[in-house]
Amino acid sequence: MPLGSGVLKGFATVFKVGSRKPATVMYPESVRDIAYRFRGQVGMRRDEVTNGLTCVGCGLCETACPNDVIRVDTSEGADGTRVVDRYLFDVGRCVFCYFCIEACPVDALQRTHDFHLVTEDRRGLLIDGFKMIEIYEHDLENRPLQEQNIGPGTRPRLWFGDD
Amino acid sequence: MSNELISLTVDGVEVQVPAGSTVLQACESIGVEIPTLCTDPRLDPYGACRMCVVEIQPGPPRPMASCTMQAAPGMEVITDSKSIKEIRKHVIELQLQHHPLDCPYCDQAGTCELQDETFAQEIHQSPYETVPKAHPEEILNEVILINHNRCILCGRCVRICDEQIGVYALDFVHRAISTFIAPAQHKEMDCERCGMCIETCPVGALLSRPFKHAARSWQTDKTASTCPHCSVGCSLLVESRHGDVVRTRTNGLEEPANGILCAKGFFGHSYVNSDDRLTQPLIRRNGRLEPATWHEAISHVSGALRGVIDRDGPGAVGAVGSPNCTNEDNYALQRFTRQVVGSNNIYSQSSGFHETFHALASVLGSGAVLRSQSELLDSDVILVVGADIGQTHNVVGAHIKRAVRRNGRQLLTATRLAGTLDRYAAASVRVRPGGEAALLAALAGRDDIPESVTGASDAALQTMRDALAAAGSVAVVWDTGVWTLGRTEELASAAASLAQAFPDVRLFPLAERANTVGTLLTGMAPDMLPGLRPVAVAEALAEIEAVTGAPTPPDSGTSLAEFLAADARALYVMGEDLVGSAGDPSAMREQLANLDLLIVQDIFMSPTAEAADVVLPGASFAEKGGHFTNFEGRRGPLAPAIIPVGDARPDWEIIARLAAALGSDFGWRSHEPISDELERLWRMPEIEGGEPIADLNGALSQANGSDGFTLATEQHLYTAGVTGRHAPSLALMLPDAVAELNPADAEELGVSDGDPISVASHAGALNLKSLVASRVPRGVVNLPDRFLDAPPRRLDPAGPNGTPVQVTKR
Repeated sequence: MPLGSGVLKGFATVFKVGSRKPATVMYPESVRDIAYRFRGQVGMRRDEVTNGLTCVGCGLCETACPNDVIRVDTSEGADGTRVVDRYLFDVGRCVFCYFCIEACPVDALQRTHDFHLVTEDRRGLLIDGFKMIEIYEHDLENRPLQEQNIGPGTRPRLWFGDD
Repeated sequence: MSNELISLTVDGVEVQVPAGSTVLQACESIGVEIPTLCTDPRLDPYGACRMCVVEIQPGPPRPMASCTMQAAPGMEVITDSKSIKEIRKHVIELQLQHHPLDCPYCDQAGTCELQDETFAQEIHQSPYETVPKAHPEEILNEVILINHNRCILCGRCVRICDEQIGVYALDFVHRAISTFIAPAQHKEMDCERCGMCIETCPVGALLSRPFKHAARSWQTDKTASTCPHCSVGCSLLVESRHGDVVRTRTNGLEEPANGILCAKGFFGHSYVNSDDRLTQPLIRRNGRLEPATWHEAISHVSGALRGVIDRDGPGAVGAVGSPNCTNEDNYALQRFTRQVVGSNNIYSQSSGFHETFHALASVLGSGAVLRSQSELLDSDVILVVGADIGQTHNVVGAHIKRAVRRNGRQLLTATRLAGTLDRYAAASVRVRPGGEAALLAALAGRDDIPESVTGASDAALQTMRDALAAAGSVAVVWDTGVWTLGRTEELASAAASLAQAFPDVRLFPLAERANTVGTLLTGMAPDMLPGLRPVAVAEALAEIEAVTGAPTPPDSGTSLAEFLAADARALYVMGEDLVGSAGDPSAMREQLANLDLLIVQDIFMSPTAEAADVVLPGASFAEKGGHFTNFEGRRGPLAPAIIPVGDARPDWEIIARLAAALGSDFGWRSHEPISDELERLWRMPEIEGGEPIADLNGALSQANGSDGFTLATEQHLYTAGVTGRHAPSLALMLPDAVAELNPADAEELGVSDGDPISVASHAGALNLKSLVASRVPRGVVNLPDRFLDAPPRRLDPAGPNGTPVQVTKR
């Protein structure tokens, strides 16, 4: 092997690779396209009338959850209806199975593409219903238009009696 | 029901059942499941829902309701033919025509029988046009709510209130499609708030207001336990979620509750999670009670106790146990006091039951009391004397009513106030407060008692005497609440004379609180060891030593009053409010202030705890294991349903830690070793004849004639002492300390409901609110006992019953 050929080979490799399109996505400056069925953080719909949680406090998500992520505390409201005192979601325990979304009878829980779960404090992973509304609405704004309608079979259902 | 067996076939399988069984029972006995909506094991067959239809051959050519059809020999029952299945499906579909599908929102979801059946019948779509009713939810009273839209008119609420509770507060109103459930006879609901209508409702029509929307039924942890409120000792199912007790329900159909509860059992649990609970140990520093850690508290208490023992001897230390704590807690406290401290100064607060027990034991033998409830209900004649059992021991009262209606027992009431028991009584008289013993003596045959003492006419007495004489067996039932104080001897001897006048008289002095009997049997007395062993007997001491491995001091202690007046230097009070319940609170407070060391272990801050040097937070009934002993001597198990609030610890554990700190580790790490140890020492009173008192016809106290009112005192259905005041639902039912007056008396005084009045006697005066109640006879003022701020004992420390009082409008 002639003297210096190794060096040239090395340079050749550098130039060849250097001229390619980079494979690394420079997160968080740029974000990869997210697959259509990607499972991100569970969000919540805002109730258009009360401007609060759509959740009616039935606790089915809590029951469906395999990992003890959700806790719904309810009580009787002034007009005798069930009101949600607190909706807690522990993202640190969530396995994104979306059973809760399946269980929700009023479609309060919604899938999002949000995966920005990084936090400096474990307590930041414990979020409440209003934070979930924020996540859902932020996701709606930033999601490409054609994906807002999530897919066949998942048209927005309303509560019983509205079919 | 005879024991004769008949045989029939169910779906081709031969089955034998006792004659008189229904077809439904026959099917269930071999595990053939028949869906039902209107059936409850506590209730009679009714046949409202038609879900249980079966085909019967030979028989009518139409489906028959199996719940009301009696099984007959040779019957062939077909439960699963195509047409039967279709009928069942149609029944549900027809119900769903009106029933709203608001399951995600309904509190009954998960335990709803209609929901289960809809699922079982695989109904996904209604073939009928749904016509939801649109009645608003109706509030029936402080704790019960009805949602007419969900009601399926099975009638279980109407029937349980009538058949089991004997109150008949609810009924059907109107006919056919416009039928709904409402207070019977369009009146204000005459309800005892036992909650059994809520409990039996198969759908979410009758709802508990305190529980409404608090949790879903499948989310709660269910723990079998025993009710902490009175001495009936009903078994409960405690449902908790995230460390909060959310509701209590009935647990099984066994004695003593037989599947029902009262207002206190069903709604009186919420004190457990009250914000007022003591959650950390408090030590008095610079005159103030300041929070401390358990380590500090235990070392402080053990150091201070050691100091008192070294300086003044173990005889200067005493301890007071509690009928609110378990057998195990009380046993631990007495073992600690006797074997670690070395003092026999161990007490439980003087209660009518203890005195009655000893008085009766000396006359009739100790086996005369603590008999089982079934013996009570099997007696031909049941005589209720003094306080209204329907108020003080509601569940026993309900069982008595049922025994009268179902089993033909005869009920005689000689109560001071009118009550629901009177409706079922063959004869009833209004006894004058203070004349209860005289009435018993008069029934036993004494004829020198004037009518003015008993308040009962000769004719009425003769009717009752005739009933007693005709009976094969007689049960005499009286509550031994605060009204019997100072009168227990004469009541006991009058009851004993009745027992000697008639054959087979069974005496049932009902203890007041959950574990009053337990404090007796676990040796919470200066002269009694566990298992009713006298301290003075050497073999008893040896038996205790054989089990515990440590000696017990052989000299009996003195009574609590003598102990406090003489050489007391340190007192350990567990679960008891000595100041609040004293006849003279200021004197008691002064006596406690003279102590060098007062340790109070309780779940709420009481006036006694405010005077303490150290306050230790104990655990409530839902947070610890152990047993309560009920009025029969039956031990009802408790199990921890939630972890104790804050830093509170079970009472036995605090005492065990204290014993370890003083150098005697009992080795207890759970309540079970204590239960085992107590089991080896447990002894029920033995049936043995005592020495008959020579003169059973001794002096009887006379009700004092006066122009004013006569005081009666008895526990109200909705009062439960400190715990009841901290349970919001119970506090709603009877919010303020009241004095109950007859309507005519109230009119004369010019007071109406809720007016402030003052009740004064020779010993003191109480300011209360008036409550006009027709159950109170004229000339009597009734002070419900066990209110925090108005103990009737202040009006007469010796025994607030029959005391002449003046009532004035404030």
